[in-house]
Amino acid sequence: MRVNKIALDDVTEESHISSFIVYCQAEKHQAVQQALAAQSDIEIHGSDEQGKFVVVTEAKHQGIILDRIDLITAIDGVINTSMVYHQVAAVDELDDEIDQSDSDQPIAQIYQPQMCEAPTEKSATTQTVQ
Amino acid sequence: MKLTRRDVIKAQAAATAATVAGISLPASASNIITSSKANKLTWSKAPCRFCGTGCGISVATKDGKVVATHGDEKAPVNKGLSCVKGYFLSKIMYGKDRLTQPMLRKKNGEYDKEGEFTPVSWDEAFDIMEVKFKKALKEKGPTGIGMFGSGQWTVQEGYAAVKLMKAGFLSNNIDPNARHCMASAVGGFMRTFGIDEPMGCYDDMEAADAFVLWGSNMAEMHPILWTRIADRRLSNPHVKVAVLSTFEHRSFDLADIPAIFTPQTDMVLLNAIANYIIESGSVNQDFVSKHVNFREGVTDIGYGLRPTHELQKKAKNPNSGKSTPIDLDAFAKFVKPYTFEYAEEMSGVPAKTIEKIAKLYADPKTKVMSLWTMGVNQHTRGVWTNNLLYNIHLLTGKISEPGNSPFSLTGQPSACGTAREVGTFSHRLPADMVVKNPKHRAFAEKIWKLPEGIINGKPGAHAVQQVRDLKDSKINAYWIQVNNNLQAGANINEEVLPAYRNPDNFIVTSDAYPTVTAEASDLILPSAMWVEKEGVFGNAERRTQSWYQLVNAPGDARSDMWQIIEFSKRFTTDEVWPAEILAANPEYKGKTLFEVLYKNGNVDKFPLSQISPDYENQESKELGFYIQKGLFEEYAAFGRDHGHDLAPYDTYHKERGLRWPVVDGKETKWRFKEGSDPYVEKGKGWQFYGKKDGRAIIFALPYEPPAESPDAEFDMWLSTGRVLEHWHSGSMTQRVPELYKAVPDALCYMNPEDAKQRGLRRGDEIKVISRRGEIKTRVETRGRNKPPVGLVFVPWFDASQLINKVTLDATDPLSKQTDFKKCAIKIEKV
Repeated sequence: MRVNKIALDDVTEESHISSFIVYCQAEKHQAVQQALAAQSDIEIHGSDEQGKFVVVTEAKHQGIILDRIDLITAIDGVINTSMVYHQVAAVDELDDEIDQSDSDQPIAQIYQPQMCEAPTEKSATTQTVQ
Repeated sequence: MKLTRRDVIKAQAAATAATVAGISLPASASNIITSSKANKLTWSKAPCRFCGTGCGISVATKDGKVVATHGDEKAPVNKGLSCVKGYFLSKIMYGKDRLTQPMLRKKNGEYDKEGEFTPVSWDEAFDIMEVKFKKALKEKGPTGIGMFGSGQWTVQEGYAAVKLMKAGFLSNNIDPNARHCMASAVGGFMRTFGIDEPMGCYDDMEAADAFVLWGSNMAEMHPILWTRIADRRLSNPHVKVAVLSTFEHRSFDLADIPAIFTPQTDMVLLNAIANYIIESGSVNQDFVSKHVNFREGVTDIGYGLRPTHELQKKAKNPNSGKSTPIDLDAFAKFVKPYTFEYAEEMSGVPAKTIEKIAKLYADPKTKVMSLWTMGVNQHTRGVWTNNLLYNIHLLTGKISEPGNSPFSLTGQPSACGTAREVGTFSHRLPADMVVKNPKHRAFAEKIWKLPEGIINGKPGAHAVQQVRDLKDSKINAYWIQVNNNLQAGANINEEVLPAYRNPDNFIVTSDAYPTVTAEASDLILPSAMWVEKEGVFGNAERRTQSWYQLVNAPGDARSDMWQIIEFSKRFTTDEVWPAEILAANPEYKGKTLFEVLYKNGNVDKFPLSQISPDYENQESKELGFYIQKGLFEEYAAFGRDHGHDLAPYDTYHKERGLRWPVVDGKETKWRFKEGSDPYVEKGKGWQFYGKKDGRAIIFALPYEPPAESPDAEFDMWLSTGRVLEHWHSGSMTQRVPELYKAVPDALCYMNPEDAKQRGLRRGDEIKVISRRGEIKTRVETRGRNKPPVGLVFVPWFDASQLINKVTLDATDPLSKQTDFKKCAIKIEKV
């Protein structure tokens, strides 16, 4: 047995997809947007006039995501970054093209993250996102 | 448009964040078409596993593994947000050194204290445990064994453990690691209010006009709650934030009123504020006359050290919590010497600053929330300081109303739910009852269906005492679950390590990872963690939250509850109960402890048909009944109709937690206040029903100096604590590489002036030396923590640096909680 060793995972064949919210001073909205856009490894998926941005990023390692969050938080005008979503997936699956024939609903309509209803009603206890 | 699986996951990540942020995504972004094969995940709810805040997390599983998590936007605690600890929850179970089978120290095929850890079966593990526990029980009786549990136990696990120890082995030698973090808070509540846990709730954060942090660094330790306070402060310009600490940290970024005080002088400041409230005529006379009693406490109570210690011999009233009744006038006289000038001289905080803080409390129009954690609790006068905090809220009647809230924060996910409410302390029974009280014992015996008079009325050994008893060979068989005491305990060189490695002793540790404590044990049992089992946690605002088993634990790892219950099958009443009790109650003869504790008609009452068809439940399926529900419902019987009412178990699977008391299906946000607490009688206004006459107590208590202060040789203060990215002793979080990377090694944070005086530069290797031990570390003069001249801060998560070799095991004499926040040290260059 080892004593006090940190189990550093190898960089595996996994990829990490994360989203977070960036809050900035409303008056610096444009400048922050430009600074975010200049960062090639992040995607802006939405924003509002009050200075919030929805940002998505992907990396081979979670640590890289933290570094990116640090860089974003350091942008002039950014007040805070709130972490929201994180998923691990196998790299070789991510490029698979998906079959669109069996569903025609936008994800925003299907994905309603609500999952704690009466345990006896199977449809409500778990929600499978398809 | 061609789509990949990547596009779908990204769309999902974006959609979730947009929901939390309240932003509608442009049509092009949200219009991604999904497919059954694209990202098929099953989502369930669970409370976060890490801290006492109790955030709701949505957890996704795929092929038997947790693959995704996000803050649950329907959870009232965190409203969809997550901090860095919760963000990577999906990784904590998958560290490479996860324990997957029992490991026993063996030499030549046999157990040997000096042997090498060797994989064994569960049967072999329990065989040797059985031999050792039976030997200790035979030789020394119930005090010869001990158990050390945790505020990270689920409610059911803690309850199963209490039953095994107190009702099975008739031993009160069970204590949780919450002794190290919340015992003083509990002592404060019981002394002032006669009932444990905060009266207010997190909703106070959106109602308060002022926040005062007493030693707490919420920005790093309770980041989600800090976000709520920051939102309140930033969107309401009149709101003020005061931050008091012994060194400057990240919470000072938001401070309108910053204050750095000399260790231990928080007591002076609190008495000075009480004095100001009285002298400025700000006492709420109506409230005080109807709802408060005054008492003066006994002083010079020692430092909870061994009775042979110099300081302990010198104390006039060691360990005494006695007090005598006084009135407001006598209290006014008592605090009169605590002027702002005196407080400035003692604490180093300018009188003008103290006045600003005092005015927040004194002004009847300002709703004020006080917040504190370890700074107040890990304190040789921790119970007193909790009492002093309640004093200033009671003098002004600022309590139990939205925004007026003295709020004791917690560290562990179920310090409240398990350690405190279940009563896993050496002196307690469930629902604030105590073993010393014969009525409480009789009540417990009735619920537990035990023979009358069987429960041991003498409190057992508390955490620090257990270690001393192990060292002194008074306890010989010892079981540790979900905590890392060798890193977290005080004075490990002289006490903890010799205690565990004492050849007379057999030490068992149940954990998910090979912590230093596991390594110092004789038998390691692999534990299931978090969503690998069904369970319940209780957070700092009395919110009880449940979750289902979402995945299986790896290898042979099994839940702590399963381990406890399996072990109970190896003992019969004939072996561990007194013969005279069995003679008087022959129906209990020859039964296993499993039969009398868990197959007692209560715990096995609910059939398997009641477990959710959608989730695994290994323990229940193996036992043949719904064990988690049975344990919860039997436990809940202790508190129902006694101010601790819990809802029916199944309700918690539907709700995102409910704050007790839950009466007629309704949770309680503010206790003790008419209209919001069903236990308050009509027309009373307030009623502190933990005390018989409904009155809370204001205590006259003086400042007393710490056990150890800097002198000519050991010339600096040492304070210890945590940093955001690591939780407690880091046994889980250090396994998440990115958390480890963010703060790679513990550092010694030092004022640049102190460094210069000692000829040190940033990054230099140094020794931190106390009278008890030393560690090597490196100097940090910049960064997130900025100590004043004369004090250094060393975080305690790093297993390779074990700062607790240096700390003193002085405790609060009333709560027996260790003071990790102050001792005297010197610094030497290596």
